[in-house]
Amino acid sequence: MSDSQKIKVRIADIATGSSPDILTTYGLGSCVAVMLYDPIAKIGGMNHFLLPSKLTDRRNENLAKFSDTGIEILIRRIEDLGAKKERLIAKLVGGANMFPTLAKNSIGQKNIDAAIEVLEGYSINVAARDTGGNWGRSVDFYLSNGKVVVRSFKIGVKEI
Amino acid sequence: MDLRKLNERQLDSIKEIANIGSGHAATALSQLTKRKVMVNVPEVKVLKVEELPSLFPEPEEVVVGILINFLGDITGRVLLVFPEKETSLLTDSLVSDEAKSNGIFNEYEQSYFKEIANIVIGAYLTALANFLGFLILPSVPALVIDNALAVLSSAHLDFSKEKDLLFCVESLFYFDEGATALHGYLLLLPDPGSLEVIFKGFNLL
Repeated sequence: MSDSQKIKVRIADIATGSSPDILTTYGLGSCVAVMLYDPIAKIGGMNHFLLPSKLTDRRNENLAKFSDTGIEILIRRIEDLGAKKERLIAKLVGGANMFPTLAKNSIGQKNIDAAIEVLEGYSINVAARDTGGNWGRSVDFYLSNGKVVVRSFKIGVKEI
Repeated sequence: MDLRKLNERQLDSIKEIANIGSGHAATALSQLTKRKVMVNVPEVKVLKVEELPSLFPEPEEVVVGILINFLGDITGRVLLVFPEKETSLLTDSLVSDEAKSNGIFNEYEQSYFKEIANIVIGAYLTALANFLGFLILPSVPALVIDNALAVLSSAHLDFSKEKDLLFCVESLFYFDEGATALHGYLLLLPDPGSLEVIFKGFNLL
């Protein structure tokens, strides 16, 4: 087995890989990281999206920026690598309301709701999540076993 | 208002008012901290949201960020940011040792930073309002201590109607003529509709 490779997922970006790669992203505030994993094939991918739906911004050409189009592309790309859709599990991280005293209805909550709805549409089970709150998060997604390590300045390190 | 098609004169007008604002903000900051504060010529940036990490030299670092919304004739936000690891240089002179915390800020330090933001951002916005002859009303400050990118992306996405592009005017403060590591950023994030109002005032539409 080759050495694990750390693959960086930028904001409004999608990346995929297989065991023992690690997908990593940082700076999740109201944004959400959707991680999909096929535990048999040990293939997975991550979408760091910013907004709930492409419908809110039809002109935009970056499909990785929205939960609906981002998740659709993510599923297709890991299927291309050999993952099976019916085996996929999902984990969600992010969707915080960083400024609760100034914003009641944060885009973070809308992002989480949208991701769950999109995943339900594909019959993909959300196995674990670390969402909401008012703090930022960074994640490492281990494709060797599907584990997700969430780091935050305020809360510390957590595994989901 | 297409943010991608702003002309030189329009951008210059925004730079000019930011210059006046940040000059007043620097004076306030200097008086508060009893340090010499220098400020650069403000830079206007129009970025795609995907390019947000490029705004800070270290987008993964932890920052103390204070956000104030403003309403009135123009609307938008001002975000004042200090790198967290440098902030002890600020609190040292003003918060007593007993009131100081290790690690995450306690209540004293939090209210100290909110007060700094109130005064500094207040000076910035008052200068803008006076110069433009506008009414500008600031909100109470919200303080966060967190990852720079999380703070910045949420400050934009949670409040701006324009989600694709970010228009910001960045002022950079250096303390003690750059002799200490301490520096701060002030970002003016006007709503795109408010830019039109400003340009109209300058006959630049």
